[in-house]
This record gives sequence, C-alpha cells and structure tokens, in this order.
Amino acid sequence: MNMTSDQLASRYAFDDSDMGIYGLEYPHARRRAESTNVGEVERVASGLVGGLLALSGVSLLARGHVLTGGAFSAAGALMAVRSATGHCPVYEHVGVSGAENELEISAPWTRTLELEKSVAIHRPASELYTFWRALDNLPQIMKYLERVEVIDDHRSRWTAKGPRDKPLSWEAVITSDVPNEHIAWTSTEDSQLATTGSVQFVPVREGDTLVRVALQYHPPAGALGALAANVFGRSPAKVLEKDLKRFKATMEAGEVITTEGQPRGACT
Amino acid sequence: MRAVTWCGKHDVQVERVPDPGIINDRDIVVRVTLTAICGSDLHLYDGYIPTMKKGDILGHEFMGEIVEVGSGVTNRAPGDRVVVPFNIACGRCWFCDQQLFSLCDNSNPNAEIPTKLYGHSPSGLFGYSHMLGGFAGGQAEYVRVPFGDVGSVKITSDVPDEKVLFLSDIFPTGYQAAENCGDIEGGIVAVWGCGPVGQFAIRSALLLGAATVYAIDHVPSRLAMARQGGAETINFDADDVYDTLMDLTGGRGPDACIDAVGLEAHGMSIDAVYDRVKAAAFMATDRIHVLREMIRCCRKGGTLSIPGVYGGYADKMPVGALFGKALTVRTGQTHTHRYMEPLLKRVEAGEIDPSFVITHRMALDDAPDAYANFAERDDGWIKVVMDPAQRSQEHPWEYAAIAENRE
Repeated sequence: MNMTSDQLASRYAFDDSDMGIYGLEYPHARRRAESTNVGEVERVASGLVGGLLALSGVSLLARGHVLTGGAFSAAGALMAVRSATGHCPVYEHVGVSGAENELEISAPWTRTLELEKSVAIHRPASELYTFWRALDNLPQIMKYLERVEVIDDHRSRWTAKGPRDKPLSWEAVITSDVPNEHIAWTSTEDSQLATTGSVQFVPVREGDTLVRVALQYHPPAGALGALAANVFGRSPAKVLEKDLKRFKATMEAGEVITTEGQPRGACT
Repeated sequence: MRAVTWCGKHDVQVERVPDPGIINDRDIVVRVTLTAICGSDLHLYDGYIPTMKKGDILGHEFMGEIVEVGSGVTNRAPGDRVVVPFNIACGRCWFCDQQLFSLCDNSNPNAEIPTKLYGHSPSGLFGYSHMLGGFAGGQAEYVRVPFGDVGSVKITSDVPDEKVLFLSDIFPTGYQAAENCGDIEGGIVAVWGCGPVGQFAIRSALLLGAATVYAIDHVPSRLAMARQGGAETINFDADDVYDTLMDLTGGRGPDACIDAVGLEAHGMSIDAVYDRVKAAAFMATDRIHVLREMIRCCRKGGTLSIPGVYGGYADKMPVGALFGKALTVRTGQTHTHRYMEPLLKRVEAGEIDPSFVITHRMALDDAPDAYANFAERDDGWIKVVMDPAQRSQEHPWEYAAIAENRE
C-alpha cells in the first residue's frame, strides 16, 4: 500500500464531515464521492501492479530501451495514480464505475431510505429489550434524535436535531411488541416524516445477543426534504452503524469512551 | 504539565501541555512516578506507524499514584499506587470476558480505521497512533486512564517502582510469548531479538520449563544480558542462524521460535535488503526477515510465537514452508490485564527482578536524546526509564519560555 500516513488516515478515517448534523461542511466528502470510480480492491491491485510496472519501466529505461521503458513507466504511473486517488480517467471516458456500490446516496434525498444493520452485544436480550422499549432512551443511541417523549403505552413523539425554528418532528405508534424479542413502530399518517422501524433481539449464545435494526424513511417533499437530508447526512448507513456501536458500548462498558478534551502538544 | 510529544519522523519534543482530567465516568487520573520507552515506540519514532499526528503525547509504559477517580470507579481511590496496562480494555465485552483484553470491542474510538484495514479493530492503546484510539500517553507528568477500574493493578507492598513498572507491558509480553509456545517443558526454544521483550521471553521460557533457550541478536550488550538470563547466544553477524541452530539441535530445529523483533527487522541478507527497498518505496511496509528465518529454522510441527509488532503488509511470505512443515502460529498484542496480578506475585515472591533490564535512568526532559540513542540500538542501550520528577543535567528546563509565548 503505497500511502503516506496522512493519506491512509484521510482515506480510512471516519470523516464526520460527511454526516449531516455532525458538521454541515462536506464539500471534501462530496468531491471524493463524485470522482471515485475505482473499487477498493481494484485500487489495491492497481497500486501493486503500478509499482511493478514502474520499477520495470525504470530499469528498461536505464538499459536504453526508451520506448518500452517509457511505456511501462507511464503505465505504472497511471496505475499508481488511479490507486491513490480512486479515480480512473479511462473509466470516466468509457462511462464505467467500479465503485458504484460504495457510494452512499447523494443530496438532495429523493428516494426511500432503507437501512438495516446488526450488532453483536454481550448482554442478555432482556436487558437490551428493556433499554430500547423505554423509547425515551433512544436519543442516547441515535444521535440525530433530539428527544423522544413517551405519550402512552403505544404512542410517542420523536424530534430530530435541527434548526430551532424548523424542528423535524413526528408521532409514532408501536405496531409490534414481543418482550425480549421484537419491537416495531411506524409514524402516524399526518407525520412530517414517514418512517417505520424495527429492532430484533436474537439470543446467540449464553450472554450474547444479535441486535438487528431496520429503518425506513420516506422523503418528505420540498424544504423538509432538504432539512431531512441534512439531518441524516450523506452516509445514513454509517450513522446507523455508529449508533449501534454506541448502543453496544453503553450496554457493555457502561459508557462510550472518547478522547475529546485530552491534552496534546503543538510541536515547535 | 510536561509531556513527550511526537513531532514527526525522528523528532520528539518535551512540551508544556494542559493537565489531563476525568472525561468518562470510569476514568482515573494518575500522577506518573516512572515511565519507560518501548522498542515499539521506536517504530513511531522511525515513521513506520501511520495515523500519527504532530503533538500526540507518547508513552504506554507507566505507573504512579492515583490523584483523581471518576464517579463510576469504586474499587480505586486517590493515593492508590498503581501500574497501568498499555492497552485499554472495558472488562465487559465478549473479548474481555474471554480474557482476550487486547481485543476489546469498546476501547477504540477510531475503530473504523483498523476495521477497514484488518476487518475488525483491536483494543485502544496509550500513545500509539490514532488508528488505535489516539489516546494521550504516559511519558508525561500525569495521564488519564480510561476504564481505570479494570485498567490498573494496585501495588500494596513497598516494592520499588523499578521492579513493577514492567508489568505494564514488556514482562507480560515476554511471558505471553513464552506461553504461546505451547508445552515447552523440557524443550528447546529459540528467541530472535534480545531487546527487553526478548529478555523477558527468555526468562519466562525458562520459568515455564524449557530445557534450553537460544537467543539471537548482534548487539554485544544484548547478547550478554541474554546470557545472564540463562540463554545460549547466537550472533547473527558472525554465524549463519539456520546452520547454527541445525548444528545445535542435530538437524531437527527448535520446538518453538519467538519473534521478539517485529516489523523493523534488520539484517543484511538478500531478502532483508529486498524488504528495505520495498519498504522505502512504500510497496511493502513490514520487514519480515526474522519471520522468514523462523519459519525456516523451526522444527516440523513446531510453533511460531510472535509478540513482535507488525502493522501492515509484507512481501514474499513463505506460506509453502508454513504449510509444508505444519507450523502453528500464535500471535497478537499482549492480554496484559490477564498477567499483571500473577506476575506481580512472582515479583513480590522474589522469583524474578524485572529491573535487570534497565540500562538508563533519565529525566523526562532527556527524552529526545534517549529516543535518538535507543533508536540507533547503540551498544549498551537496552531499556530507558524516565522519572518525570527528576531534573535533567543535560537539559535544564528550557521550554517554559516557549509555552509562555504560546499562551
């Protein structure tokens, strides 16, 4: 992998800037998403082949084989560049992309959002069910939620984080509730945001539970659509994944540890 | 407070930085009374580990006195004397429950990075890159310890710091490496690398019943220390390792081989030079000269135990030999929390005095010099400990002026 540590970090770092409410600045992520057209595995292969080609090219040039040496070096350089940047000018010209599955939805949000993620948690299903069933706990897990108010046994009002003057809020009812196994909910008909969700708690082995969450959001029209897109950001699947990791850490370790606020130096 | 910070390849500095405090409820804050530089810190110094940022505080081997505990901690109190494991573990996930503490699910806030590279993330570490959590380390006057209720062992006797500091990392690492060899009772173990981890691996292998330990290195002081620990030594500058080991074992090879060298393997054989060229061209990041040699030397059906520190990718891995000789590989970061109490008991019982490994006692302010000398593997430099309270002879505190300007 021919990358400096900065390249490695920026390529693989979980860049919060493409996540809506965590920071609304994501031109960097957008640029990356638009121009990436080479799949991950192919990028690695490109880098390796490119390196070998470049080495042979240089050695051929050194021995006076200008044409083949030049061709090999140039090909090697192209392969290395497409590996490093994820963008292949040849692919672009031909209109092909190897990276389509990897792109998340792009703003503005125009089609139904369907998310499904699972996480293994080392706590009994009953404990996880109990925590989740108290729906006012959910903002601890789903960071895009400002608050969930429980109205009665079945009804609750959910409010997403967003601008004060335009809160995105909806009422939901529990449609299925099997203690220690399954909870499902859906937004009521007049809601700003149409959404359904479910969570399953599947015991795997002693003390281990597989938690499977499925969420559906149907895009509201107009300005609300843009607002909702802001709330869920460019990578709603990653948001859900991070939320479930947070749920796991909360239930297992009792807290989600962070390094925010720790000291660091400035170097001269 | 003062702290040692990473400022680029071959550049560490001692700076004034804010004191750490309680961030999460299960945190403790420790005033550091003794800390050390690890061989793996040299991989950071030499620029082999990605995702470092300028200003990161280094150090994962430290001990001291608790000065503050979070509201979630009931088994520790200010005033307690503790040694802290170099890896961070929640104590309650499936992996911690299995005593696989270096694989904790909940202690790396940046788990996405290793997940992309490896498939899953290991635990967070102190002072060892953002890929492994970006936690401020303990080469400093104070350090914040997450999950401090499980991430500390209390010292109640008056055994001196120098005898217990190494419970934080290198003693458990050497011990786990020896344990990972499998049943070595009456057997022959070969240890590549006579740095501190190798030294503890040698002594641990003998404690666990090995009949003979061969120790391989080329630095005279390291070979001498290995002999003092009961090993027979092989100098790879003078002798071919494979030929020597075959000669000593009648052609069979050692029963178990320990790689206490890791990704920066030195050596001037053709394959080692090849590794260096590739590493310099960023085409293969890890140099596995030692691993290749171990695979060749180990007896058929033997075990390779690799505490070594590897990070990325390697080239020309002899998988044919691995398969053809039916070798067992056991590897990974130390499950430090598992070993601290049992090894503390051995120390307090007088079975082993870990302070043998210390060659240099310096002030925290001497860190830049210490790193430079240690990185050269200069003869005589094996283990450096630093006392944050000690004033430096060479470097009387000069940094106050810089800090004041910054403020």
